[in-house]
Amino acid sequence: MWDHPGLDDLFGEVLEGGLSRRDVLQRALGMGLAAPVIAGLLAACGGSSPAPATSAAVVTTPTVIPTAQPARAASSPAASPAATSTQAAAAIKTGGQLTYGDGSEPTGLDPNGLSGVNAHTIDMQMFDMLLAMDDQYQLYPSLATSWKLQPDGMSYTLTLRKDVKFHDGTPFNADAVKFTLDRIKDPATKSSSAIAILGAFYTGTDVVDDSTVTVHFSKPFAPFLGGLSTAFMGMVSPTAVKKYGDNFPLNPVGSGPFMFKEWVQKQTCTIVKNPDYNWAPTTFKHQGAAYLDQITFRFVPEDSARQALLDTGEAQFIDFVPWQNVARVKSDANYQMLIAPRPGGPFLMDLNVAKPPFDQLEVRQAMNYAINKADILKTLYFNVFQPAGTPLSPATFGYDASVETVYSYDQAKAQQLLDQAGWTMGSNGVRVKNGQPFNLKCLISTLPEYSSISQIIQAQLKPLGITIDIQAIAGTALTAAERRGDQNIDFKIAVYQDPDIMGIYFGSRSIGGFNFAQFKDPQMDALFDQGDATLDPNQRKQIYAQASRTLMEKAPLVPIYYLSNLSAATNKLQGMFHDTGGYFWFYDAWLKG
Amino acid sequence: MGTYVRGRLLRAIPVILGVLTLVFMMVHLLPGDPAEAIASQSPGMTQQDVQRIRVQLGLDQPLYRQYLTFLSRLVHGDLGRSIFNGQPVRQMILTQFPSTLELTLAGMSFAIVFGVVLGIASAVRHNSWLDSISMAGALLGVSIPSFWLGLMLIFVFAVRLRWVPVVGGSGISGLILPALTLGFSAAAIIARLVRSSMLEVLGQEYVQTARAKGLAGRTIIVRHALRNALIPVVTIVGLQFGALLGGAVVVEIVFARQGIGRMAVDAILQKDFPVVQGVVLLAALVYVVVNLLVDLLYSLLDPRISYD
Repeated sequence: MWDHPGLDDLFGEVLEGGLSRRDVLQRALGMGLAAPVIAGLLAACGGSSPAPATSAAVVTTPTVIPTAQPARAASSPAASPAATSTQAAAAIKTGGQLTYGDGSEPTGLDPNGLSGVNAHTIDMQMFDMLLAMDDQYQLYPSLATSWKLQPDGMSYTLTLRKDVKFHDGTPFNADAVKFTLDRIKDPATKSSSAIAILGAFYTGTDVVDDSTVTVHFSKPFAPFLGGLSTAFMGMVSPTAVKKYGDNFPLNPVGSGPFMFKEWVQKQTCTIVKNPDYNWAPTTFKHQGAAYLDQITFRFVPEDSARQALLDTGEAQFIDFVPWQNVARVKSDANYQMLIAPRPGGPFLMDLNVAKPPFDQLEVRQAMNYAINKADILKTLYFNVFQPAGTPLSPATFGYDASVETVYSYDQAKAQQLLDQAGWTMGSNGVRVKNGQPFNLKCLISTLPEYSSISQIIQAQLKPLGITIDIQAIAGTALTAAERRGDQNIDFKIAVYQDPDIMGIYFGSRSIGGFNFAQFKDPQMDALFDQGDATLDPNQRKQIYAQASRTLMEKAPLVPIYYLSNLSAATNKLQGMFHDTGGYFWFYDAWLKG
Repeated sequence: MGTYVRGRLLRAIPVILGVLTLVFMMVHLLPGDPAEAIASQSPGMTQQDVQRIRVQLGLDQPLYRQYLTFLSRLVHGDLGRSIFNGQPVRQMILTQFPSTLELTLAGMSFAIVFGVVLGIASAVRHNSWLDSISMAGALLGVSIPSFWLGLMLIFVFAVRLRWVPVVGGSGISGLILPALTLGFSAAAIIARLVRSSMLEVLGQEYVQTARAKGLAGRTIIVRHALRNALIPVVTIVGLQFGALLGGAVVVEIVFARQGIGRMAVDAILQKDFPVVQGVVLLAALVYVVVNLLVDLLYSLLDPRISYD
């Protein structure tokens, strides 16, 4: 029941070269695939040429996934290994217990199963992966010391470490790899993310000898290697899986630097140091056992209560810091504010070009002059985020800072453009054209953030003679209405690792999909297509810079702000850094005395 | 008495059945099929997959047959398993309920003690400053939303004063703030009710007779007046007990406590229907039992009320 025929088809079409990069992104997004999976898919998507471009040589380490995948443009100081490597090793103190104030409790801790992203941070501390990836998307050895694509282009031979033991004493070997991979494929595992990474073409694993496996696919399958570095592909102890059966998600056993101790549901999950751990990949800064003795994930869904945990010292790290607390955390010398910019698009307002008044370019441009983003960021977000002026966030490949200045806040200019477009100010303070008042229908979700932001914009546009009717709609009914284009304006945001998010949002092929603005422009479509087909990173970057600028000039959107992930820690906690998805590793972390 | 209790328990059966039927209908008539909800958790699910899940969960069967299956399982004490972690719902409830019960009882105890004492004091010192202050307090008590009160208590007592931990303190120290938060509005309601009920009783002839006999003021109030004044209070306490179970949802989230309230919210958000059904069934059972206890208490308080 947990097969993914949709995904099968998608992988199939990718590898046959029948799909462009954009098609993959679009369809993967529709399927709700995890970002690393999509990154992997893109790696497989070599423009029009079929995939086995990943030629069959011994891959020396480190290597780069053959894709135009961007290096993360910006990351917080704490996130950068370079920043933390300056710490004198002598100063590091071992021992101590970390309490992590966790905003969302996972349903299970089986990395290969139906555990979802809430389990990711906990799982990545307990499980080892076959490969490791740094923040530049480069691969390093982990449990596998080397890897090689076989001449048939459809199978990989992995050489494994011989000194690794699972937490229950079971030796890690070729059998364990085969067991884990076969288990992911087994429908009874109910795998959600891992099955997408392993893909539909996995046919089995041959145990060559105790420390060598060959993994077979029915077709060339490039995303495999990158996917192996994600926590979803954590290696599980075969003995423990057999012992616990259906209860394995509540009794996870891996080989990572921390071991599962206890999970009190709705309260805490505790993991303890694995004293025997001696096989860390070189993406970390030390070898041997973790510095911390224990990590307790305390599940505290309420934002303010979670913040209070940090204030009283009951927790040393919290995730999902509320906006209103960021300034206080920053200004407090006892805390470090960990701000990780998210790649993808900004939080933006769509302008539906399919009907008046936004069928007119001047009116759309007027909106870009009329909205005071600084005011929104100050009032609503306490200046935590940066105002946006481009369709791509600065953490995204292809972002061009010069596009930020295409518009600036200028009410006079907005008035002038509206006059020019024939919308004259009526006696009641509302602009009219052909007898029609300038009234906008705004559809929003029921989240408080959306109602606040739409009300601020409503107030900002009123002096310009524009009225807005705000309608909040719950659940999937909203998306359905937005796809149809019932609205004049709507809001959305996407966290995404590729600049083609622009094409997904504003390409004509997404009309009826995510192109809520109903925007259709041959010049833009041509640029998106070019971006899809170009593999050279520099060239691709230029294409997206140009696409960003042109899209802003055609103005089917008003970018509002760039989103970041907000976590906080006490200054005593040192050494942690996050992976490409924004999840924190605590293996290198230690607590100052 | 025994006959009465037996009769009441028998009459509870249709009530529970009605609740169960309603819950069952809820699952099947509300938009959003559990199969779709499960599918949305996994990438790449197609309509065929959704249909397969539907078959596996028995959702393709005619509604009446599903209902009968549901009932027959229930008779065997089987509440099903969580869709998301495969744990038996019965076990999940048994794990989480003690914490909710502890919280509710602590909140109720606080509400009764605080409410009755304040109510008596206000009635005895009718129209005094004490009366005005406690009744103003009671008005605040019913008006303050519990999530706000909880956060304020955390801020003052855990963050500023550091008297208690923010969350998860073991034993009494971890229970004080949640119990206060939960019991606050019930305390206010009880205080107002005790006051008006006492005022009425204190004006009655038998109280005047007791006074005329020269009985001590305390004896009159506690032994003669309060006992009769408590009958409407017991009714309200019973009703409030149910309200507190509902209020536990908010308090459990704010204070990050274990409990069926939090479990229910998570289950609803994840569309884990067997868990939702289990929690609703439990809540219905608690209501029935508490109502029965309230009725039995009447006869203890007032000998004129008899169930024989």
